[in-house]
Amino acid sequence: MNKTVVNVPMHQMEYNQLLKDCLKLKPEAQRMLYEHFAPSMLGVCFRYTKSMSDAEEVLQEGFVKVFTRLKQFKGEGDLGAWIRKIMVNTALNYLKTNQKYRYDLSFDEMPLHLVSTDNPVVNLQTKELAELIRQLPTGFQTIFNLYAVEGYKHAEIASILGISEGTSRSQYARARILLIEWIEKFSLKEKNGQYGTK
Amino acid sequence: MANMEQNNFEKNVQQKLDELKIPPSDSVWANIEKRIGKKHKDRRVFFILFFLILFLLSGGYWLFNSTKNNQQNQKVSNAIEAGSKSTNNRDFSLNKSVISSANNSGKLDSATVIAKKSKTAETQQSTFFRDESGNNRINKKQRKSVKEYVFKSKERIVNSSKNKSSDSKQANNEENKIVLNNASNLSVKKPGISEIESKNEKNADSINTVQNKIAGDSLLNQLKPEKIAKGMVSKNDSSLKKHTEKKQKHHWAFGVTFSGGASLIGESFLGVNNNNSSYSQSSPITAGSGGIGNGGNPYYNPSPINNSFAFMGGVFIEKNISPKSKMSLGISYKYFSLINKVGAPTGLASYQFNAVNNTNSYRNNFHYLEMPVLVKFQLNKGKTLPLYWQAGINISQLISSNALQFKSNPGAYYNDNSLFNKTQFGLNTGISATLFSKQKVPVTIGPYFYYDASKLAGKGLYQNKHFSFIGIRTEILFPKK
Repeated sequence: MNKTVVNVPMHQMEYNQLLKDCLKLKPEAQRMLYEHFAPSMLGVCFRYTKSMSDAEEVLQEGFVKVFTRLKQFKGEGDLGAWIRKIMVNTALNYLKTNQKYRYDLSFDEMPLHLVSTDNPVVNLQTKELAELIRQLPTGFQTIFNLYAVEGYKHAEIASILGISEGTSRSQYARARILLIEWIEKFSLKEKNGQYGTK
Repeated sequence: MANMEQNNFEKNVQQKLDELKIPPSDSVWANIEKRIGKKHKDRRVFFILFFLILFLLSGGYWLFNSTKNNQQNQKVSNAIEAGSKSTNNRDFSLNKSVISSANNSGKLDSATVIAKKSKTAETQQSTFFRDESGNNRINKKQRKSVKEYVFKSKERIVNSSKNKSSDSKQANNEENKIVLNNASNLSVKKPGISEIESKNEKNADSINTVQNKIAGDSLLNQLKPEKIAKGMVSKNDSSLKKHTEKKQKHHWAFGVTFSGGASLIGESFLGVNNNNSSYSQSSPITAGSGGIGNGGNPYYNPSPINNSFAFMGGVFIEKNISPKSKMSLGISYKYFSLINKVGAPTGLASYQFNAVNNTNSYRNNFHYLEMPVLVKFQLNKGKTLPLYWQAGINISQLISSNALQFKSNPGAYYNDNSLFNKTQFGLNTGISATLFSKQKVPVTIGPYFYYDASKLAGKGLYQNKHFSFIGIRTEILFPKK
């Protein structure tokens, strides 16, 4: 079941050729583009959803958009970043429209929380950290992903999610506190050998 | 400083998560491939259908215009024919040269009105000059005025042959006015010619009077089709009657229509691939329809959606656009239905059911208001049982629906009409035969096929699905008053 992820390095020339072939709707080129970006993009989708099947559904929807909108990519920026943006938007759209997430994604107005100054060193494995983020309530999880990982500003997040900037800040602060707490607990347990190494 | 430390945490998390790479399962690419392939096919089908419709509409328009022009030309030529007959039949006590001159000038003007044969006009122009110039006593001024008249006539020939628009009737009227002016100018100038002639011939005054009369009659009458048409009616000319009958056939006729048949749903024509693919993909932990997954995390598959009864009914107006083609516009109510199996009602809200033990049949109703535009082409020659092929487009608006959507975890059916595309564009075609075509109330009946080119919904249980309809269509045309 577990596959090894092969990171195929790609030069600009190869990128350009691949893009041209994808625009000509060549199936081999489309497959190559998918294989190159799918693992990292599934990582993105995985962080926004609660199950692997949902993450794969978002990935599928996202790649359909990538291939149908490839003409819009002008080749000026990084293709990976462009695809990632599509994946994030698809994931957000999925959360908003899917019944499973729609009700969890309601953001109540909260009093402004001060962002803790705790700054723990994250010694967790990548997937363990992603799993912890996924344990956060959907609202916290979304805002944490958008702010801490994608690098959006609170004003932008507020505009994307249709909430106030204050709500975004307070939700992020709470998410951060919760996550740090969990990271510390997780690290401690791992240190005590309760979980063992994976 | 604290902010920097805080940023360190974010950077640390960001770095870690950027490394996260998870290989997706093989089914993901298979589904992507299927969907992008289908999108290209859909686009191709859409373009083919679009150009087909465009071709049909432009063909219909061309037929409509060409028939109209032909009728106008026929009308004018009939009128001229009748006019020239009436002129020839008159018993004038004139010498032959005067009569032939008058007739020639009349023919020249006829050619001007027909606006078809410039060569004929040229020939007749030369005839005109020969007749006029045959008399050496015509001065240059008079010849110049005649030349101007002929030149203007030629200009009109060119203009009128270019002008084949629907406003040709108005243009003809204007042209008649111009020609009438010229005719009157000519008739004013003609006395000059006749005066010269009168020096050599006797009874100059009577010749002038008769010549003017002939010129006036032949020019005015022949150039005024309506006037001649009246004369033709009085003479029981059958061609005008035919024309009037044809004109009557071009009025809009009012009728009612009803179609009954089956509504089909699927991802392509005629409900092929009618499966809930999006759901079967989204719930990998399933054990068939209504199954429960392992690990205490129940995922359900929706029950299959079955095609069911459908009907349409409405009113329409129809018009002949050519002897063998018709166009109709209408407004109708459309009812489509689909059946699926659901569990017991949840009791939380209306139209909400469990997905456990799907034993109850549920009818998903779709109510639309539709505007069909059709073009019909007669396939056979007979008038007793005309056979038509029809094609057209429909625009419909979803008025209401009780259709159920599906949630896989926990399995539930619920109603959410916001997921539907409210406005639908469809294409229709069919073959129909008109029964009792010679009776007051003709009935047209035949098989009818309709395909919704728009997707029923972008999300949910009906995602990427299209409606089709196959059935029998009946039209009843009401008698004209």
